[in-house]
Amino acid sequence: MRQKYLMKGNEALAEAAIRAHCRHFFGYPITPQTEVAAYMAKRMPKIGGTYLQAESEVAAINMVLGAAAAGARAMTSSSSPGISLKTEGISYIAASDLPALIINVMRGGPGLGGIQPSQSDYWQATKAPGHGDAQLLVYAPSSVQEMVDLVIRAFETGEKYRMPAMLLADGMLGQMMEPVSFPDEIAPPQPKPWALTGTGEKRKPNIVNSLYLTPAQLEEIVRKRFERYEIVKQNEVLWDGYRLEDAEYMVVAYGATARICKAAVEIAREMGVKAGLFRPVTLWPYPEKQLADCAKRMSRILCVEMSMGQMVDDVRLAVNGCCPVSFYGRTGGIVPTPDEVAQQIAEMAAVGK
Amino acid sequence: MLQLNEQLNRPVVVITGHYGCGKTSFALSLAEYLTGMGKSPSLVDLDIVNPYFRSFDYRQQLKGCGIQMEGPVYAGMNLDIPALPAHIDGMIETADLQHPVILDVGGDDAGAAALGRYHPILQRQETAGRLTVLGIVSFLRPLTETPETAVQVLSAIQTAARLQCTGVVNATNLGSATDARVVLESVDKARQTAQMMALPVVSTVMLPDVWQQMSSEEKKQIPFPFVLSRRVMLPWEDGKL
Repeated sequence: MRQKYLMKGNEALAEAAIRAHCRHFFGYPITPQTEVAAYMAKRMPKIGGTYLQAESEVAAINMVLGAAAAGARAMTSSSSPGISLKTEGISYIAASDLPALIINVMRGGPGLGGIQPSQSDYWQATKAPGHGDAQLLVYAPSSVQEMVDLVIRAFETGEKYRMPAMLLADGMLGQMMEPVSFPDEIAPPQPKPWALTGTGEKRKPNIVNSLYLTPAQLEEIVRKRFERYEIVKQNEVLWDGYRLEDAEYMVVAYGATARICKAAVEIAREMGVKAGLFRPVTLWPYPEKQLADCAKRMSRILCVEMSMGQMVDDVRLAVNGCCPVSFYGRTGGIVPTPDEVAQQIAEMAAVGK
Repeated sequence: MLQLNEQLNRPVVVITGHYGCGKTSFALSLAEYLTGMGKSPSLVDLDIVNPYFRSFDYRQQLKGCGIQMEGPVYAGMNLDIPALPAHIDGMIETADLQHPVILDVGGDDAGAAALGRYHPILQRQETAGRLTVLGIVSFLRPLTETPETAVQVLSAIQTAARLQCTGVVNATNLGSATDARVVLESVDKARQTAQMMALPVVSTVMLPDVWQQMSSEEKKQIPFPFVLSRRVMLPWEDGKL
């Protein structure tokens, strides 16, 4: 049996990255993700890695760009307002076809907002992580163990497709403690022949660039990138279902909210409502086909988020009118309770009858 | 309980330790335990580091049990400002055995820095034999897996707080996944940690179901068991876990 530890989500993110051979972390403190940076600050110097607290979020993300261009497995982490500052750099990283890991431990917004959990950066992560035509791989864990597993996967998948990945957590996941274990061995990164490692006068120089002043050339490059995105959509979708086999009413939720909804499904079942849970694990690529398939068997769908309703857009697009989709959300740092969500499920079922 | 009770014969009890070792759960239960002894304790949340899962969140529950709760001015108000109210000084000075004060300090040396402000007062308590400082350890936390690293963390806390620990509390746990084996395997490490610091292990903390799992032989191996109820819960837990 693997050794288990009791870890905070934020610490687990950092430890998982280290075990996944990440040796370059550039960050800037912000609640509720500060422990990621604090943990890296303690561990990186002991294992010959680089921990650097940059002068700002903008500097940190550009250090990630530089390290990634040089072939390093690099990462940064922040929380909502800090991620907004990083978006310029994220767009440059995506445009340079560089793999890197960006962690967002979401808090209430907009603006400085609050420091309690939220999921109101869904649109930002999946639709507009920066300017221009670009996507990020977006992973949404719902337990501390899954934070570990998805950090490893995010690095590997990002490098496979040469694109940045975001791990979208929230303050609840970042701060809560659960038992975790780590894989015994994680494969080291594959060689990166495109990296800027010096030619040694033995090959032509590699170039990492995001500036193309000829429209035709830029269009060609963006089109090629989108062809790659199509392959990602085919291969990299992850999702999870709970009690969907005989369900008539489906709740769709991700992250910490999915944990609450799982408890709510149990309560609703005790109330006699056949409820189930669909949990997207990748938010981009979104499990649209899988969601559409499940929706065919449902009377009604309820999307629950810690926001005013963002992922619900993607749920409606995937369901495409085959059954009614309603929304329930709390925002500003309020975490919905299982009873509150169960009540919503019961009301949805009452309307459906 | 002898060792712990001896430590509680002083009216000011400081609870420190590595981040996430179980300080808040222990502090909450200790306050209840003192109430059970017929005392009227106050619990001061001095955590200026972490705005989540803090003892101040439980003030209503505690108030119901007759425990007075104090915390940073803006605790629970979504404001990230480490301002501590002035009357905490008075609470420490006027504490007596009937009205003890428990100080729940933030994790690590960063959290213990908050004690620096109270240094003159706490030093007076120390000199007068009125001060207990408990170092909580948990060996299933990633940066304190061994007695050596646990001592390093506690030493850093002592330096930041400018206080010496008077006892070690073993709170090794895996949250709701804790079983008897987890606690039994930590006993030796706690003993070694305490030995290296020339301190006693004053109690071993565990949940009621873990205690019940143990055979009477195993129970004998546990130095000064302190069985507490789980208080720090996640929103989807129903309290039965």
